[in-house]
Amino acid sequence: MTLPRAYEDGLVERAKEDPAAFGELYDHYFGQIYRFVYSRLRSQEAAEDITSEVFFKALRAIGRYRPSGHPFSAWLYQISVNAIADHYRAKRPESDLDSVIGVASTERSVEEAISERDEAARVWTAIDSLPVHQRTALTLKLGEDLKLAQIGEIMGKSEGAVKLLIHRGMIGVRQRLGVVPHAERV
Amino acid sequence: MDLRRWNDGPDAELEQLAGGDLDLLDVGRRVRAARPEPRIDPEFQRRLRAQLMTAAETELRPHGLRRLLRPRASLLAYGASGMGAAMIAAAALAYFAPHSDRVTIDYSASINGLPSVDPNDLIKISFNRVMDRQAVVRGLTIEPAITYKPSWKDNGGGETLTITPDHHLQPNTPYVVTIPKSAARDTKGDIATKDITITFGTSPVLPPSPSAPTGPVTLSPKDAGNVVAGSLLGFGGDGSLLATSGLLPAPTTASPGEATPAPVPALVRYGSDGPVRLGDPASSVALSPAGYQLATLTPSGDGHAVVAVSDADGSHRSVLSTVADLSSPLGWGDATHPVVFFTSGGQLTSVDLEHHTHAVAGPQVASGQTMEVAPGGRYAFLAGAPSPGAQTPSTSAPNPPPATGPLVPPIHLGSPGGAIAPAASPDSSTYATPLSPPDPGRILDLQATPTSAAPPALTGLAAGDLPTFSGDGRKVAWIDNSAPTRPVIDVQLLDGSGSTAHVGLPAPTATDRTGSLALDLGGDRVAYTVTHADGTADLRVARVADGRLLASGSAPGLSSPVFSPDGASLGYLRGSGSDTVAEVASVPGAPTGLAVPKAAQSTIDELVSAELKADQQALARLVSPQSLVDDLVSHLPTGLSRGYVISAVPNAAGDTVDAQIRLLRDPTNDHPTAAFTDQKVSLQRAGAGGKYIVAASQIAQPLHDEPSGPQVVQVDTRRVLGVTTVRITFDSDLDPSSVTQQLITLNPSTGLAVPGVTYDATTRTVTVTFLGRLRHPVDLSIGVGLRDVNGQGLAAPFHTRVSPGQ
Repeated sequence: MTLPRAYEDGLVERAKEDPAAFGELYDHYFGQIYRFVYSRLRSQEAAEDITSEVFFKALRAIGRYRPSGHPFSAWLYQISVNAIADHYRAKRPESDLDSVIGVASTERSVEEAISERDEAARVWTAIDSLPVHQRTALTLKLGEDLKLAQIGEIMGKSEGAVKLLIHRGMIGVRQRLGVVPHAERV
Repeated sequence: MDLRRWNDGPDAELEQLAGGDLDLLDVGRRVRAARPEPRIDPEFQRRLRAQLMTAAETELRPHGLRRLLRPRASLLAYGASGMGAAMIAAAALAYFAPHSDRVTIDYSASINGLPSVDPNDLIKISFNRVMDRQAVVRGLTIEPAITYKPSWKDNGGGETLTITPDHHLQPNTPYVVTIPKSAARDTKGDIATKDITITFGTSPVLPPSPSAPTGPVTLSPKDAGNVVAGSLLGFGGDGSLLATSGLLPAPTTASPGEATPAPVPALVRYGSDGPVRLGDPASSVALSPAGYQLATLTPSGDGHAVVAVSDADGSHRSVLSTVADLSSPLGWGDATHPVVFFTSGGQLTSVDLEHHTHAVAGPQVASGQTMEVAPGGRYAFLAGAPSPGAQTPSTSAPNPPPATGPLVPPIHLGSPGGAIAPAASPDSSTYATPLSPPDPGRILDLQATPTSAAPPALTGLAAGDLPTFSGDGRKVAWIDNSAPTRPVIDVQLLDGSGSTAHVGLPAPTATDRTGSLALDLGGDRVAYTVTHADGTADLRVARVADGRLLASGSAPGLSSPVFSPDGASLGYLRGSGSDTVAEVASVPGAPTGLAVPKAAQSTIDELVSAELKADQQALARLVSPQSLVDDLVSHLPTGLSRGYVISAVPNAAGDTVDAQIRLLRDPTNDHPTAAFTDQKVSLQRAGAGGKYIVAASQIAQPLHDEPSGPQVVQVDTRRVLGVTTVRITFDSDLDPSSVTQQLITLNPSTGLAVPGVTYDATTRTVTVTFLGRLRHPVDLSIGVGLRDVNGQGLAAPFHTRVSPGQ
């Protein structure tokens, strides 16, 4: 849930000097950020680490925060996206991030990778196999219900580029789920 | 609770991303449905908070302090271990102190989940803890937005927050009240475990407020400006107040030290842009039937008066006569052949806008004798002779046939609804009855035929009193002193038909004086004053049909009331001498907009009701042909909670009505956003019985979430005296500063002046007034700069089609 804009703006301004105000921001956005991070990492331990990192980074940088017309959460998501990327880089420093994911995805089919025959697992395994930018954009759109403009702000990309990433991501998921496009069925 | 929208409803962006590919859309929905709901370890959340708060104590100090307290690098090596211990202690304090363990913030609201509460209800939320009031109120939002006053009361174990809306809740509207969990905190810093969401809906009709007085409303006037005592008032077609002798500041030519020059009298218009000089002070002013032109009667200094016509803003002035009588009546002919009437040498005369004059057959008006012409020109009031021996009007032809002339046949005397004429003579009801009662005067039918009914006799009218006419020229009102116990106001149709309505007056004291009558456009409401011995006066507005008092006000020297053409405002004078002020106040009981035939309105209401109940049998009775019923049923969303008619516009003949209906599914605590779709229907009159059926219906979209920000709930187009006003009512309290002329665009451009735009916070209504004749339909758009009091703008520009008057 987004806080009322005027209220949030005032809260953020106060949070630059007032720990209680920062605590209020934390209380409000913790769950949202944690869920997003978890959806990307699929590990409670990693999600807790990255969520901690996100909020400590936010605490240290909030003095430089300037409202951009988007909700404050967009800024937190931006930090989260960077922290997740750093997390992957730290795990596989020698590999290109996209190729890591790509290789992982090609080594096993979606069906083989899923031990549980559960729809959610299938879908998220498919998403996990996407290139990182597609995955991030898709997660922010379909996992967090953010607007394209907000996703663009978070990822530092134009709205058009975000659209393309999500569109390609959806096609990628469709392929990985084994859905035959309607046009090909005809 | 996570309030992200976990819904399967339409998402315009997602549909756009799928590009019409249903498989992709399905993939999107599957992804949404597969979103993980990780278990959040509350201990981790608290621990992290404590750590952050500890760090924040040093990170977030004001800049100057932070710099002073920040340890220098050289000290870090020595201070590290000690600082670490201190941080742990601080973390422990932060963890345990502000968050007393296992405390739950609970709330309850009796209104929660109710679909049909009284719009006058207050919203009460009870907490089980003593709350951080500031934090709760700061974080609280109500959608649709309203301005309100919060108050708190101890409820035994905690506190109850009462939210009192400034302008009641909007009827027939779903509401969502939310308090983010981070703002729902008690005084110890404990917060709610989830966001607080309260949903409810209001009943369709605004019932009388039980807490409000059942009697009349108190007039709440605004000063227009100072005027000369005895100035006459009226309204322009755009609703701005006119004063025949307003006072404007003199041009500042005085040098320092000199006295400030006295204000200068002038004919003044008090519009939204402040007072504007229209010309020299006038004796009388009359507004043309269409509302765009003013006729003025101005003393010329040579014993005569000048009759001139100008545009409503005072421009394009044209002199029509320079030999009018000083006490001449002034009026307009009908809208199809605009002529101005006045007397010259006691002779009633007409002049058209091309300066063709024509003597009108009728009674000769003696010097000092008063004649008033009713709007529409059919009737006039001629007062009795001023004194014995003075010239009297012809008695041989009390109702003379209309004369014909070469240029302007037939003759219509007219002083249309907006005409400014001397008010019914003030303070007359206590005039002593003379030993030999003089003639008080009578109504003349200026177009009488042998079969015409006689106009009403003004029974009980006191000599020197003047009756007053309704703006449509169909009714007359006067103070009847013949009643056995006390005077009453009689209201009668001028054609003599129908019975006389009597509006009771308060019991008079020996010194009370009743006078200053005014009728509204349709003669449905009457305004009058009761002046007391100490100079204070009561100004009252009563409904003619039953005499019910609708509004009243009291102040020294209230006089000369006049209704605005749309009936929503009352202008009058307050004070005396150099302290005379023109004021304007809103008055209740204004008529509604374009009349939708009752049978059509009934069909629309029944249609909405049947749709909400999904009553196919009822739909089959209301909709024809059967294929349309089937189509409607197939597109009708399920689970509807309410519906309302945004607009209903009849065509000229009234045999078809186009309506726009909004159908809604109320928000719930699980899905705290109302879902809606709009339906357009066309009704046709079916058969001679006057019944209407739904002949076309279109529901373009399935239910989808209402965007944040103000929503239009009603559009009402009115035409009074040819002036078109569009009233757009919103569900939210708007930020008045965002309601500007710049928001309005017309397509195609009408070539008219930019419409005037006003906002009434009480009714949440934006009124757009076209300042000129609308000659063809236009699309009126309101831009997204319009904001509610929460700062939320319109989600999309609002469009409505405005047709010229019939």
